[in-house]
Amino acid sequence: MVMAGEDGLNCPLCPPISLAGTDVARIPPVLALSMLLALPALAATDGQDLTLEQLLEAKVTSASKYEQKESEVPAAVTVITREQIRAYGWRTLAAALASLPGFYLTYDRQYTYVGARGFGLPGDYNTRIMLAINGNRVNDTVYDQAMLGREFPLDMDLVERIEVLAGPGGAIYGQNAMLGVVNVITRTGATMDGGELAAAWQSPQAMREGRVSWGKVLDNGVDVLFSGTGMYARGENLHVTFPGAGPGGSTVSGVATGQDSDRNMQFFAHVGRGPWAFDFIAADRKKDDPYASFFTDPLTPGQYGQDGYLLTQLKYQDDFAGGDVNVMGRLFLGQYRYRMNAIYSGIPNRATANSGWYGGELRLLYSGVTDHKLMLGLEVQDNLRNEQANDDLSIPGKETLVKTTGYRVGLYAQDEWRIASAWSTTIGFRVDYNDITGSRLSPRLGLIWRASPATTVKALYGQAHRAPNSYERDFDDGISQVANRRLAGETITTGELVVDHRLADDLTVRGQLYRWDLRDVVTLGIDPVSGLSQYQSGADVRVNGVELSAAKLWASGARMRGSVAYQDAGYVGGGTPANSPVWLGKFGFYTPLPWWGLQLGCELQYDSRRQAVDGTSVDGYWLANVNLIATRLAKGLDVSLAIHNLFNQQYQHPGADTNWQTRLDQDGINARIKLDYRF
Amino acid sequence: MIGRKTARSGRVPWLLALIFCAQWAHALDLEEYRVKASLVGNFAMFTEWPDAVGDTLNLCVYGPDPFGEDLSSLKGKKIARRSLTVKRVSSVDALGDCQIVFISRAVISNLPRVLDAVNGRPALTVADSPGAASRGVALNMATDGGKINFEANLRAARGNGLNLNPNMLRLATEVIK
Repeated sequence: MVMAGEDGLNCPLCPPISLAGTDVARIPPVLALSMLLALPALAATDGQDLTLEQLLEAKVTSASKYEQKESEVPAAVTVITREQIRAYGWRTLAAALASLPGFYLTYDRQYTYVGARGFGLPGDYNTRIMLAINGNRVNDTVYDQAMLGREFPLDMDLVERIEVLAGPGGAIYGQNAMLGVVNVITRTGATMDGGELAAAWQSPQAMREGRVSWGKVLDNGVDVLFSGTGMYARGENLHVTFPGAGPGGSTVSGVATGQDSDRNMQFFAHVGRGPWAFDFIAADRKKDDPYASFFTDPLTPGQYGQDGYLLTQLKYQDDFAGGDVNVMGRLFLGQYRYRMNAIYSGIPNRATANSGWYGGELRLLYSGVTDHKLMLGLEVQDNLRNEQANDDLSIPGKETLVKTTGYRVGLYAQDEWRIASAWSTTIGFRVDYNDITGSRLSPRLGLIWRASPATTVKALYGQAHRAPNSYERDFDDGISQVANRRLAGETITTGELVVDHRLADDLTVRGQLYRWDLRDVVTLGIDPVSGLSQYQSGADVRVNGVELSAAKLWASGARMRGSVAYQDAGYVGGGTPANSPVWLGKFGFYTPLPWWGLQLGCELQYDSRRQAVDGTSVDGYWLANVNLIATRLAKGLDVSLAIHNLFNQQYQHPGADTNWQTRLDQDGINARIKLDYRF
Repeated sequence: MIGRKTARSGRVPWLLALIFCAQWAHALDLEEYRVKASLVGNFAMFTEWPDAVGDTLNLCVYGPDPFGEDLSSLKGKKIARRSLTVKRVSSVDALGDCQIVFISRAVISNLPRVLDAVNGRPALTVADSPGAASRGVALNMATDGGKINFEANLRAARGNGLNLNPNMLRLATEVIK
């Protein structure tokens, strides 16, 4: 986690704000006099003939217009770097997110779900987190799902950095940007600069993984990167209980042998030249389901879910008019397909979904007006294919096919205005228009006060909307779920106060105080007419919370960060939402060791108890992870050993209404050995 | 920019110059990479180059060049009997003839590959990324409180057969030995 006070970052996710030096040097009188004496030479040479001492005393300004410090971004933004991903040995995006204050995970052996600030209803498919790769949306148009676990279509080894915006980003990003925005920036030919081979093995899951990548900037200036990954894990033979699955509602339990396997194939290509960049991502992942979710036959092999992606983007970004104008344009095309093989009373049932979309975005940044940064953008997306099908082989001719199309258009504008040297404000809004909820306005307001060189205070207000997706609104198979064509959208309104303070050059602290109000939350309920499941406009939820975090770095390269989050989520009419831990604690430390180029990374995380869907309590737990990397065993070779759940904590996550189980067992201790070879 | 004009003309009495101290201080503001370019030149000067190094010191910028024109003033600069040239390289394959390698921040994650390429050769590695010195870069610059500072990894420099002048190390915020 890069926190305030570290170097500036080039953050496409962060709207631009000026870094131009407004601090006039506070020069001690003696020094000022000595500098004054050196002035004529200085002015004549613009610094080229200064001595080393003089250079180190010179006040500098940064010229890069769109590079900004996190402390000056009008949002609670955090950047996770490749170095951190490597140091902690994170294999999934979800594992990286779980290291941040306020984020917590739920895993049902199909997907990994990320809850934010006490909000993570069981059975939600990460619909309220916008996930993008190089700015290209990954959320499909049928389920709106952000794939954050092993199902994420990009190998973590190809991630250069992850930009995380906690809170609503609807004023810029529109649909899905309710609880947070996660933008993954990939490596390029320039940052890979050669070939890479990786091989990993993990026990007791018997996971085997291999990757081949090659990237280069060619002599003609074209930047290319190609990478392919294959993974297969046999998984564990888990002892699973299925309450109510037996005759007369009795409980079935036993060992689900060979029903936890995971297979993944991923391909990534990047081609760029000058302001142009083209990304191509194809991925296919198949996961067996030992928990027999959607009440399928327990302890029956051959039940799985399969997710396939095709994501492409052609992007153009360049500066004009001496850097005053920045133009970004992109065209995108995405496909997602889902296959589920379920077995009901011994008869296979196949559920499928196909989602296809394409569109474009044009964004202009203008910094030609003194003290203002203006942004104007238009995003258009055509959801040309939303298909959901179900073929119940037990009833010949009983087939369901739900087909819809749709579109969305978003127009956004923002001004960042530096009112005075210590004060700046951000005013922005986005107007979204779509075929389901009509037009919606998402405003955003930020006020930033640089109280001192060490302290920045931000007051933020934001709102975001989400239209129900095709699965929530249109799916109707007449046996498990009925449609709700009148389903309205949901809204989040947030207010937040962020204080960043630098206690020392290498020690920063951050405090966050917030209130989230979610209204008309789309919730799985029961249709009174048919008695079947139906997505409905549910209750309102309010979350009040506090987050305190600290980060320290040492010159040796060691880094420490920790946070404590308190989040009090409740239904406005009374009651606590399921799967909402009140306390979250995170601690991470990594350091180079003095022997053989070793690096050690350690993590300790605490999740307090959560409520299950039946109102019972699922215990809180501590998790410890360790990663040891040897970098000097041979030229070009890194060897790492990652141990997850070091103390073999037996813990559970709440299940959803679609699970037999109200609590789902999580993995115990496991170890992964990985070899990375550069050639 | 009153301060700068004043200084150029050199005709204004000292007292007046002092009155304009504030504006003048502002005029002293230098662009970050202009200062960093000058620092890189100084680093080369405070390095003891082995005799085996010829008459040219090739300064290679690896990755996207953050300096722009600011490096051009270093071209042809004399460092003892040697003269400095500047090259931009986008691949570690082209680092073979580089005596000073600046690793740009955009490609710092590829540092292990750079170190593989220059290891054991008389090459001085320079960067401006947090933590780079501890990861094996000989001289790493940082910005703190609006000023540039640097840390030195003497062990890394010596590993490549280079010695760093104590007068320079004295000014470093941290020296890894």
